[in-house]
Amino acid sequence: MNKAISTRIWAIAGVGMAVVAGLGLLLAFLGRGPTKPSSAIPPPSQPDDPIVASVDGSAISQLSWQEAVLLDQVLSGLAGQSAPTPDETLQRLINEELVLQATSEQEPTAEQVETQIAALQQAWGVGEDAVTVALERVGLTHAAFEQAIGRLLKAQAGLSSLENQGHDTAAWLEKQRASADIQIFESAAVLPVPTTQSSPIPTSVPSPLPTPAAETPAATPTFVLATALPLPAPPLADLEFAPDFTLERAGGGVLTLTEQLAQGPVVLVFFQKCG
Amino acid sequence: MKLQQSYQAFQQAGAEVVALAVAPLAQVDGVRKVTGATYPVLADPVHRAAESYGVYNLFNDNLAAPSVFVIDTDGRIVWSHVGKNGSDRPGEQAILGQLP
Repeated sequence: MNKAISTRIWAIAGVGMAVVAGLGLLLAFLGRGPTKPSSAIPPPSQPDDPIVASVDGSAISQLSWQEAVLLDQVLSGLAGQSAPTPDETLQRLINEELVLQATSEQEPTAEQVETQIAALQQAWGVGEDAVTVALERVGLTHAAFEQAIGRLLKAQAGLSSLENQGHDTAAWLEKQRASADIQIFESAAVLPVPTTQSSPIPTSVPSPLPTPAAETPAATPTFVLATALPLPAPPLADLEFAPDFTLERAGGGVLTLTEQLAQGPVVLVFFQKCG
Repeated sequence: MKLQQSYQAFQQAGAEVVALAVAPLAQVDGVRKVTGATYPVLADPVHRAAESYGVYNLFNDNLAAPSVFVIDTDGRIVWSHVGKNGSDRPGEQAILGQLP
């Protein structure tokens, strides 16, 4: 395995970003071999689990997308990062599929997955219990987490393999995205509106992935989370006026925002940590 | 931004700094004493305020995301910044430049 690549990946996934966000960055560097013939026929879809996208005929189901979105949210939270949008998660899944199709790495062993999870927990400063609780809060199992890490390990191995073959993996992935048969179906846009703007956290960090919407036939799909997914808090853009509150003040007394505003403008600062 | 160090500049600009934390009052008071904060520091133990501003639990940590809202005397939010991680805070000058 290419050590430099490995270091970069895990530095990103374990310290700087959530695993899945790191995977997105990882996959941005990934590429694939010669283009396979395109499959013009979408795979059959289950009525209760429609296909949202296909990559050279390999399907990504709505349920797997939803699970990936939830995992992204949980892992980003553990890493103290903003979660990618559902759109970004879908693009990540597409890139992951491109990589896994292009490489033939072995499945990581359970021990390798466990070792990696332990390293991530250490980097995040949390224990296994905290991870399990965070997963269960959104209805996910630890097994799903292990599976996601396993896929990351496999993709990492694929990346190293490609680099060892002399590929410029970033350019390679871009080329693959342009040439692969990537389809995004209507099932990814069943409901109107909330697009990626529904995220309450504006993501100023540019997506590490190429801009797939401009490269795929479905240029501007509207990705919508199913109602079962826990939607984040209301977008800040909707807040024109400051909600009033009366709260106890450290050192004694209370403070009411409207009363304070009568004396002048207020700079309201939320602390994340206290103590 | 070290808030206490910047406090005087905000006061001179005519603004009051009000800080909130999703924590019990005793914990908030402890931090106030340690930091020597002279600006109001409020406890939001049931995170009602943090939720109403849309900054609660964005990182699945049951805390408020670090964030800043500049509010004019009409109660209008004229500027805001919601941190993307624990250390993502705007600088003093960025906030001062937004004061009405």
